[in-house]
Amino acid sequence: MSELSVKGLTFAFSSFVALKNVDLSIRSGEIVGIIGENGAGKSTLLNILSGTLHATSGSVTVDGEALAVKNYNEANLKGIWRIFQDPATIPNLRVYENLFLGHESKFLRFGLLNKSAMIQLARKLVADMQLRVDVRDVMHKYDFPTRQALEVGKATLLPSILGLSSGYVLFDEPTTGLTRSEVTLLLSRMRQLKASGAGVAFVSHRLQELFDVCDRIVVLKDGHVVGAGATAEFDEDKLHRMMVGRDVQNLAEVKPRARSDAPPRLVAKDLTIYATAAKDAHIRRAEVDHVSLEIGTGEIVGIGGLLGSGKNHLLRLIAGDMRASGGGVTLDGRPLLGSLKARKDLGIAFVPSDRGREAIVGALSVASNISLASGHSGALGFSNRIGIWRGRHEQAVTKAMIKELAIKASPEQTVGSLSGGNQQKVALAKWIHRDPRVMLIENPTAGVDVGAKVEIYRHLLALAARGTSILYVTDDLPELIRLSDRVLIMRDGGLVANLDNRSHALNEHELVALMIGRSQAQSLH
Amino acid sequence: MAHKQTTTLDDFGAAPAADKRFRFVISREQRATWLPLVALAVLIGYFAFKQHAFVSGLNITVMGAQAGPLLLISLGATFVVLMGSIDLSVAAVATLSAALGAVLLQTFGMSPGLAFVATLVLGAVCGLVNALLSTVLRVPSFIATLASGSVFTGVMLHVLDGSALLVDNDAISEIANGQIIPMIPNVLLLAVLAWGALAVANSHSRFGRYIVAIGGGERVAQLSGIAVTRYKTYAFMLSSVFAAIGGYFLLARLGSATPSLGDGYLLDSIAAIVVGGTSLSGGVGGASRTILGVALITVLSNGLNVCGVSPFTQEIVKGVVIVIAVLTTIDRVSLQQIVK
Repeated sequence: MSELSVKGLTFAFSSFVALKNVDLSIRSGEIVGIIGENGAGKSTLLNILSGTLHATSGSVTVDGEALAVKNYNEANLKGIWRIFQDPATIPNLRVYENLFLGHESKFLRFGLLNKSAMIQLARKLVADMQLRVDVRDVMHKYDFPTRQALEVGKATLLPSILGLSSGYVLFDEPTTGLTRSEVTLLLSRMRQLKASGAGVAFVSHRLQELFDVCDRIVVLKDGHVVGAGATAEFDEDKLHRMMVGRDVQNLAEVKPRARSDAPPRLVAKDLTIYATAAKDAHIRRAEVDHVSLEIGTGEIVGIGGLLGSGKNHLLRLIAGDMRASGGGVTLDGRPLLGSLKARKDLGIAFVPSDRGREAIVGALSVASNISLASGHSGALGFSNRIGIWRGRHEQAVTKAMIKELAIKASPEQTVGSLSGGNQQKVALAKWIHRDPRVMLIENPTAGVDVGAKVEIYRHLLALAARGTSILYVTDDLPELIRLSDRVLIMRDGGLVANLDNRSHALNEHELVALMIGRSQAQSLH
Repeated sequence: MAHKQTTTLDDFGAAPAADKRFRFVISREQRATWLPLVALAVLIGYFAFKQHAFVSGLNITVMGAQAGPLLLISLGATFVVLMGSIDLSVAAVATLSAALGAVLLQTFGMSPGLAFVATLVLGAVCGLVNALLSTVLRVPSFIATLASGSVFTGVMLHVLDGSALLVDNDAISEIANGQIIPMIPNVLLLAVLAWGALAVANSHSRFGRYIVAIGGGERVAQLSGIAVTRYKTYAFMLSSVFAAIGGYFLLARLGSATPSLGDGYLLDSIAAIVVGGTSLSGGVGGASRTILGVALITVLSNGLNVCGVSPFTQEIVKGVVIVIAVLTTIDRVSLQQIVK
């Protein structure tokens, strides 16, 4: 029996240790489930197993022999295959070309590609998978589940093409974009793979799927293996507790704040967005599904949810960066319509999480970044009516912001040269000096060190105390609990919970359970 | 504008990389400021030593008259480059403008002032076409302006009917070649005034600031609520209007419009912009820098001429110098995202 295993595996990005001393093995003919929070190290582990990253220390072996691969293609040659969250297919190539991409050398005849052999083998694969696919069609004619199934089929076939005894297939959250029946089909394909003698690793957030197909489960947390054993040894509660790891803390820092009786500042009703673009065709359900919410003046509301829960889409709908398919938003009783610019003028601020690409211009100075959203004329603006820039005003505001947020930089320094924490402060300062009515923030402290994190929390609390309503999404559970007056949980595009964090202290355990969803309908309390 | 790897790598590995990159940009900035000046001094010294006539009063005036139209044409296009796009239609617009001016002056007997206004309108229309292609139809500016330039050239050939048109009017020549200030041809005076105005607009107006922001990060600008499409349209229009002005003064200086009037101005203008220190990837540089590039290109062409270097060799030297200039000033990190 062959085995793909890692021993004492450690992986560090500069000073950040993503994996520490991990032991794990995948034997042929079994399915191993890997579970953990966002950032627990699951993807890093799969990246190392599939040759795209290289361990800092520790060993990766196949049948006791060190796995020396430089890249994913070489890992393929050793029989290791990965099913990505988004199928790694090239839309404009034909199905059979996609299936054997990178392995064309196996089909050479007199130095030319033996297409008929490729087509024949591809047809057999399609027949085995019971798919209705014409292998000579271009890939983009087929939807997401079909493309994924083709990838799985490719993984089944690969060892035989390469003359290997067995292969390993790594599934990286493959069910995220699938409907329930498609998930069932995928799971049965996994079982087929297992029966054919392949070793399977299955990363998923959905516990029930793991319980359904896995022989063993490995739980990762902050780069460590915190639990491993036969599936029967686990139940949902135990897994949740292991994933979260921290003592289920009843928050010390609950901020009892007076609930104002004023009418809500921001009201969203039935906000919905359907994926229509062809590239999103694999997501078949609504990405945001009839979400209604209310946010009071000066209230801080955090939204939690897994990747693909629709929480970021919801924020971007309100910001005006995406267009809703249905529903509407009102701000102080008036409809909030139009472009991002129009909404900005009404008092909406939006801080995206992809700092370098969306929030700041690295090549420009701190002052230029802080004035970026306020180049208009008028009281808050940095230019006069005929468009002349108010340089002195810009300097004054920049200095005030640098002082208020304790940004460690001079006004003329380029933002790209600052640390993550200071960059984030600049991204926030850009909006804070406008005293927005509603501030929408994606991951307020992503890529920020602990010290700056606390500072940013303090500034956001101060901002809310001045009357700005804050709606933010985060992947960081402690942050969700620490910063929010109220916590909303989204799952599969819908709002599944609205929890008051003032009267009732939330704990991470119940939030994780809500994000993942219980397999059986069962009440939490 | 994206140049990112995976999210995981970004989150943890990007900070040191970013630091390195921006240290590089700063040194690039310094190089971009000083190298053209040093190169200019070296070239002037070399040509003056080689051929004394190079520094004669007459030749300096001639250089001024040569630099004027190039400066006008390059100034507007600087804004397009600064916002991360490119305008390859400037030479075509300049020639079309000269052709239109010549026909209006000579055939229709229009006054020079009115003809000038007509060319301004022409420039605005050409710019609008480029902007429409680039923003609304989302054709990359490289191909959009290359194609529109071909169209403008075709229109120009129709206007001139394929042959040169002499403008028999002393007043028009006076506009360009007259010297309100002794030794300085009017066309250069005007171009320098325009340079001053646009340099100030670049750093002290909403338009200038927004163009730099768009060049630095179009998506950031958009998410900051900047009307990106509108400002890009302004930049394309500015570029074409200044190309048209340059073309009109070229006509005034030479006294006739020929189909080959603008030949060479496309490469020269882009070279002047880049040699001056405006990055082709956008966001770095500015109109104030372009005058240095124009001076360098002019000194180089004129010096080679005065020294009697064959026109064939001149082309080679110019090409090599431009490549060297770009190599020394370019931000290598952004190489992947260039050419759009």
